[in-house]
Amino acid sequence: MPVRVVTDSTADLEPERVEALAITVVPLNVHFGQELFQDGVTISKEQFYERLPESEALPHTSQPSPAEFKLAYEALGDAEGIVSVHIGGKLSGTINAARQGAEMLDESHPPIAFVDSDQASLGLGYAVQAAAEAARDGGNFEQVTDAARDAAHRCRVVLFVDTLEYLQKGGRIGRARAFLGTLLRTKPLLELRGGEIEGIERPRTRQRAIDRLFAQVMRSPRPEKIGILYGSTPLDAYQLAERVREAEPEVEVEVVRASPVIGVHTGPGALGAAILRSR
Amino acid sequence: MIDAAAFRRMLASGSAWVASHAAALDAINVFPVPDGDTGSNLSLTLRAANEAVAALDDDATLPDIARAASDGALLGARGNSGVIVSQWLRGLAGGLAEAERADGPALRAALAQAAAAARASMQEPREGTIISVARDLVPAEDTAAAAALLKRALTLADAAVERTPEQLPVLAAAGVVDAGARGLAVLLGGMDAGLHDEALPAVAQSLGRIDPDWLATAVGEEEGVSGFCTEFLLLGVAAGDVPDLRLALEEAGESLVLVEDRDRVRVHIHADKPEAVALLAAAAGSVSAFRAVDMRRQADEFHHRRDGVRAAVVAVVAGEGFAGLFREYGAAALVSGGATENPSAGAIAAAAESTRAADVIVLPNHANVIAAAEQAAGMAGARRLHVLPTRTQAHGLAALLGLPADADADHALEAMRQATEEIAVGEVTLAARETTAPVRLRLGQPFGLLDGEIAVAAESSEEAASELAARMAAAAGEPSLLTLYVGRDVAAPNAEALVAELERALEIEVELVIGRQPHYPYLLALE
Repeated sequence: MPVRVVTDSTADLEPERVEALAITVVPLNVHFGQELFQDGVTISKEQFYERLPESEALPHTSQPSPAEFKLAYEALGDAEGIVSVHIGGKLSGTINAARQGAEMLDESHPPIAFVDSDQASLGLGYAVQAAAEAARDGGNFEQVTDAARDAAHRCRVVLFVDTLEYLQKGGRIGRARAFLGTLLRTKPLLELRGGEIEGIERPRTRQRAIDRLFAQVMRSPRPEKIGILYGSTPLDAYQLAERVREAEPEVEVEVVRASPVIGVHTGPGALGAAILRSR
Repeated sequence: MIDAAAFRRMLASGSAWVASHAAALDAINVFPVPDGDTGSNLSLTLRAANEAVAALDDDATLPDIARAASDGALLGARGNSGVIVSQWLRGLAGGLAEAERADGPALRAALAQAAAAARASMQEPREGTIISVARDLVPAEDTAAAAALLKRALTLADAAVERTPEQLPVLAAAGVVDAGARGLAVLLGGMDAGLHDEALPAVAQSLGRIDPDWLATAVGEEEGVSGFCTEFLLLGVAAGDVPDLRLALEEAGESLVLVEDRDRVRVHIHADKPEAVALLAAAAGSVSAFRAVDMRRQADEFHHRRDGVRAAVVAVVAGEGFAGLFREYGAAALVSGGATENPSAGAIAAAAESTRAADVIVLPNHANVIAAAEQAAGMAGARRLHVLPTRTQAHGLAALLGLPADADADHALEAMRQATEEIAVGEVTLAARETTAPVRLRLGQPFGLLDGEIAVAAESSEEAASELAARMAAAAGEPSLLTLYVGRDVAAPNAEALVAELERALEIEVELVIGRQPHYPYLLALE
């Protein structure tokens, strides 16, 4: 069996792509109060975003247990190697759980490489996809690992949120707080930089935020692939995708609904883009 | 003997000598905050003292001159060390208040009084600072001649400065003497040269520099300096209110220096929320010449820990709410001013200078202030000043919010200008006099301005705001947010009722923001 790629549910990869490239996805968990769901397994995106505004207490998330990673790796026991590519370690402890899961394995198992993507959502997804394509094309363990690292470096994720409330409750706001301020309502533009969320612009209305997001996408040099990400606002996402397609007719533009785990932290009104730069 | 002419020379020469050491003193500034501004602050304070003296008639007496220097220094005092030196000068003036000439014993008594006044201005006087040097430079015994006494004081001052690293361990760790203490010794040296009418050397003394290793470890990015160095003058203060004011301010920040002079109180304090300090102080008197500088940023710029790309913003603000908003959204320095209190070009230039950034963008935020801001751009020393001619605080705040996190000065300015063009602003104010054109206004009648032109007259501020909002909405494309900045003299229920009415009439989101601006009951920003 060739090299196999493992990731987590924050990669926002469509099921068809996961299946076609034989990617193993380990789900994170979403908690609504006492109720526990496996991201994308026991709760779909549609169910989640329907429930999100109705939920009294904000939902929260948890990383997969090491045992879940152990099981995933065991199922790939006859692979030439395993490349486990994950959401950035500064945003989630998932990659630590993966490492701990690997330590629980018996002695005879394929070599496992862990790639901290410093990304999330499609920023991670594009890295995973690049690795899985390298594996499909017969790449060896090292080549597949390099493909994941290389694509992760070429990705840029920019988004705006309707309210900082969700990021704040989830404790993921970090260094962005000082720049973004709290006295006025804003629709802050954020970017993942070095695996952390940073504030980059402070528009005050949703329309302005969409315009600024579009400008940020256009500012990205030599795009190879662009993914528009949304939670509860498909219309805004498809309109933005159309604008981008008109401006960049040569580039593949897709629209993807963010996974429940991402949605817990960004809130329903968030809109974003992942841009993969050409090599 | 020191007579009026000699004392004039002493002040001028002392001030000049400190000015030529300003940069060297900045470079050894460690305590209480290594923000690299002790020399600049001392120099500006003494310049203010000299300007006050220069304004006197030629026949002014020694007590007149000493008093003018003390008054000028109090009004122009900057920074912790500036306020302390202004007190030292006040003590000196008190000691010289009686006679036309001062001999050795009179000078010794005046220096002792100066030391006591400097100490009294500090909540927690620390050894190893200006305070201990002011005390230690007073000779133990009288000398008949003033000149000989001053020489003796100078020797004692230099020795006391050299002792500061033993008294204040942080100085020893940083490998420097205390900057303020050295500043006082430099002042005394200049005064000594002035007394003898000697020319000052063309070249300043070298004063050393902070050990870079200490700077790197002791003032890491995550610790050490924080908050705003906040200064203002409080006018019309009743003497009985000062103890309570002092207690309240002690709670509100650190490094408090509070100085009383008749019904004026000069306040210097390091606080995280300078606007809250101003609000607190406003209970005791009227706040004037308010200035607040982000010390963390200042220190980072001075010690070159910033990338130097992002421009610093200096905002002219009126009202504690707006001061808080401009601080929250990243202005590096605030200067008070607006419709009636116009800050001088010098005050704006000094604030720009204090940011230490290579590029400084000034937001004048009132039509009356734009000229002073542009004049300040011509006075700027090492900084490049760019004036974005914002006519209202609502424009200025929109500009500040439009500043991207990582743009260089040119891009920042363009993004900020664009942000001001993306909003429409209406102002509600009260007629300062009767007019008949373009609309009839009674004295004190509320009216609305659009683009600086009188647009509506009304019977209440709320009515004027409603009519303005309706006109603005009709002229706009598809607005989605109206921000209502509420002024100082508006009752909260009136503002809340207005918000409800505007939301109903315009069918858009209305955000009520407490600006506490004077003269303008409401500012409206539509986007």
